[in-house]
Amino acid sequence: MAEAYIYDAVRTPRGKGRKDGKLHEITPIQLATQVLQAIRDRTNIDTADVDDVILGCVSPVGEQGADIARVAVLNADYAETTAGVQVNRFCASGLEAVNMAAAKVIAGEAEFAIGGGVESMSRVPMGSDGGAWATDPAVAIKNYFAPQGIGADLIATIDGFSRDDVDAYAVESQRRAAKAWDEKRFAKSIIPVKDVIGEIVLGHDEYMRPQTDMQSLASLAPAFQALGEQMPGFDEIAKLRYPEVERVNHVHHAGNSSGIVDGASAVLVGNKEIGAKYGLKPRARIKGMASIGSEPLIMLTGPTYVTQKLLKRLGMTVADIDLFELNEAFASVVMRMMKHLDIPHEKMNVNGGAIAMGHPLGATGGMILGTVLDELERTGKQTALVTLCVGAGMGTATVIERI
Amino acid sequence: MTEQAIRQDLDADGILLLTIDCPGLSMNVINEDLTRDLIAAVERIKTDDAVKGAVITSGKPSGFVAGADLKGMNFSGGGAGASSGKSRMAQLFEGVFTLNKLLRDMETTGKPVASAVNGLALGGGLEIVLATHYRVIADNPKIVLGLPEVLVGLFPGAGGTQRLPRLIGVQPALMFLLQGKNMSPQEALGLGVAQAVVPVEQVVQTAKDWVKANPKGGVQPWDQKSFKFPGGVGATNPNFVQTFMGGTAMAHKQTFGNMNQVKAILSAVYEGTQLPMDTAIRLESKYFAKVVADPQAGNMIRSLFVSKQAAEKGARRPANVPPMKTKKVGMLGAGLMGAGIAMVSAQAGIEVVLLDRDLAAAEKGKQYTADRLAKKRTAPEKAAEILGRIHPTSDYADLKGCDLIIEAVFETREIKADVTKATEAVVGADTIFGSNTSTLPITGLAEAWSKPRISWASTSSRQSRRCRWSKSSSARKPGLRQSPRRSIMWRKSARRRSS
Ligand SMILES: CC(C)(COP(=O)(O)OP(=O)(O)OC[C@H]1O[C@@H](n2cnc3c(N)ncnc32)[C@H](O)[C@@H]1OP(=O)(O)O)[C@@H](O)C(=O)NCCC(=O)NCCS
Repeated sequence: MAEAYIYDAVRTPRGKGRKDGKLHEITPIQLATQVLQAIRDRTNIDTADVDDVILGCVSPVGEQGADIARVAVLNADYAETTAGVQVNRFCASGLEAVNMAAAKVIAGEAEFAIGGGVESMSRVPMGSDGGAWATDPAVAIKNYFAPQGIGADLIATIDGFSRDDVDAYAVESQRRAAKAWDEKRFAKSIIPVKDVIGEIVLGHDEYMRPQTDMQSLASLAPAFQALGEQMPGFDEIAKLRYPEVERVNHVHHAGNSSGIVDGASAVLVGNKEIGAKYGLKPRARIKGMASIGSEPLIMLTGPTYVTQKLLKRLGMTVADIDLFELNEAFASVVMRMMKHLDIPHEKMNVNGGAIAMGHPLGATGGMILGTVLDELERTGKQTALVTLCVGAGMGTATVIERI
Repeated sequence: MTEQAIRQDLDADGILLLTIDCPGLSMNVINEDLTRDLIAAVERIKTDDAVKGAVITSGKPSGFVAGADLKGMNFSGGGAGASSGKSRMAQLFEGVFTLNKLLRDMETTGKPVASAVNGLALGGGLEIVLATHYRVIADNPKIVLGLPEVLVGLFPGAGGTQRLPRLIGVQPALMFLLQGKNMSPQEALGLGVAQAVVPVEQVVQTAKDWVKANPKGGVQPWDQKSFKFPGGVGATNPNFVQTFMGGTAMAHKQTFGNMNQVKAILSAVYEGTQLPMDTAIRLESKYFAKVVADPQAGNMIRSLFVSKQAAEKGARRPANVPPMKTKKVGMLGAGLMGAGIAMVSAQAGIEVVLLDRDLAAAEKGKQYTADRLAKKRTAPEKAAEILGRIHPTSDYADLKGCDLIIEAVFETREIKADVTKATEAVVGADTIFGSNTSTLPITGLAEAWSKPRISWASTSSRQSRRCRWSKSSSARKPGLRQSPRRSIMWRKSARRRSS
């Protein structure tokens, strides 16, 4: 079987996912188009050698509907022969797309394949696609549906993370992200987004708040308390599943949860021969990937389990991983994984994460894979594990290794 | 012998007046007689050219129709289809679909049908009304209209889960369907459930006038091309999604996921409102068949309706024991609970000995009543009279003469045992003794009394409700929290047995 190598990875900066966000005027198809064009133009490959483009997208309706991946291929002026498929593994869609690209390369189905994702949360809001999980009563009751913020607060409750603990994590994320930008650690991968007249509308992550400190966060009201305690009262559903919990401690708010943003990512994966054909040096090898399911109400504990599964399969331990990148969906998600797998904070999300820079759902997996690859190269380190918590209790992970 | 439940009178305008008057009953209910006559009436509306339209009313001053005959319900799935080779569920479906289909036939003959509602219309009664094209209700605020089936383990299975949302929108409809809440005629008018509210003696005439003036009025809004679902519908409609996300969670937490009919209502509305009416009512009946196929529905009807009514009429009361009126209550513990019980007892005209460790604590318990009465602006003489019945004390001897003791002291076995013994020493072991505990097993507490026998239970706290509703532990994650036990009252029954 072939090996799958990463030849390039790009991402747009993340724009605030609101009507006053800088990327709000940019359509999702444009975001996807611009990252695909960047991959092509940076590597000078003939896109006829790209067999498939896999893009994650979590709300694939409206402007993001109708297989946005294939439409982006056409819109980016790739060879007409390149296929495209949109996938949805909720928050890990972007990483799942890269894993699928790698699997196609490993299986010999593709020479080059691109994985990545796109999400304009300002134009197609979270939840626009409905779905049986949350709305079909028979399904929701059977599975004890509660939104992800309740799961995040439940994790904090069960693992004993206080409001101060999660806020401190958020402050550190902001600090690390600001430092990374100051030192231009993201420069290699950021593709400024251009508007219809070709002018740059956004060149940096718009959502960041480097001044964040414990005091400024202390003033923010818990975001999921009303949903949990009053209408409709999801805490009671949580307590039916977790009867040992007397009261859910609502610690998450806008400052320690992932930001709602717009953006896109793309990662070029290929086998050895096709890289050699274009004189491209592989930046890393995809060593392994995995997905799992776990209890869906608490929802966000998957990263721990998928990491255990993947490391076991690869015959590795936590100590063999130089850098961890876990999407900062909520502070408690990262804190839980550090606690349960004994991962030092110095190895985890070293350049900040979604709390500071935002989480454009379908795109994030591809983004953080690129971020950690840049960091491996910058520091001369070898191995990284990238993972995300995923809706309905799933987890997806990838281990990469520099050549 | 079949007796007529619906009278038919055709007037000079060709309007068929259908008067429901179930023979031998004080209140109209949907039973076999009524169903049989309604089938005949619908057939006549459909086929008799002399009939231009119809009006349905009730011949009973007690009301329109009170719903299905709960006592006569039979969900065994036998009957006509029993030997047809069909599955039990298919037979059940056919049985429960009869009335549903009949009402659908009534609303699709093409001829206008109006209802003239002179009194309460509940359950199937309101469903008949909803299936008519024009609904006139008597202008009497005491009239209740509602779909209370959910309260006895059932749900409206004759089109109610489909017509109400199509009339007033999914969210408001769910409120009525899930809570079994009634509406008044004026509310019905405001919501669009009724088109006219008039004095009771005019309901029939108003309905007839409408039928006469609207020969083409026999098409329901949902059977018209231009129909727009009020509030919107469908799995990508934000209102609809929000309603179900929130409504389902609320229902889930209130019932702990244990009530079949609640889940069935949600599903029938969620799925049915996205379907055309003919398919929707079939789906509703399928969910109805599922609900009645489970013993839960029959058990709830038995306990919450049949047995409850019987119990309220004293069915289990021993015949030759004269009623005992509580005249003097001994209230042990003047905390929040004790003070409250003292207050309601005194308000009910019962003397109360309010006992606590020291007089100050007992006095404080009495002050609670004084404060509450003052807040409610009770007339001073009345307040004085009520307060005069509460006797704070710290002396057990004052319990002498009490015919009922209620204990609400600290939740520790030792303290409760001490108090129990001290009380028995004064009042004797034949006095009725009740505990207000919500955490300690009642049988253990009863050991402090020399002639204990558990006799009846009352649940008090939210926690004990949780324990009542919750299914077997397999449905829940094993956890650390213990289900608190119910509070139970016990009494010595020597009074009855030794006599
Ligand atoms: C938590 C959440 C509901 C907050 O949403 P929101 O209320 O729209 O957030 P906003 O961006 O409007 O911020 C709310 C307030 O917090 C403030 N704030 C946000 N971050 C802050 C920070 N770091 N420091 C100080 N203030 C901050 C904002 O300024 C804003 O204040 P304002 O109301 O005075 O303008 C939302 O971010 C969320 O749902 N995140 C998770 C997304 C998600 O679930 N992703 C999938 C993961 S599984």
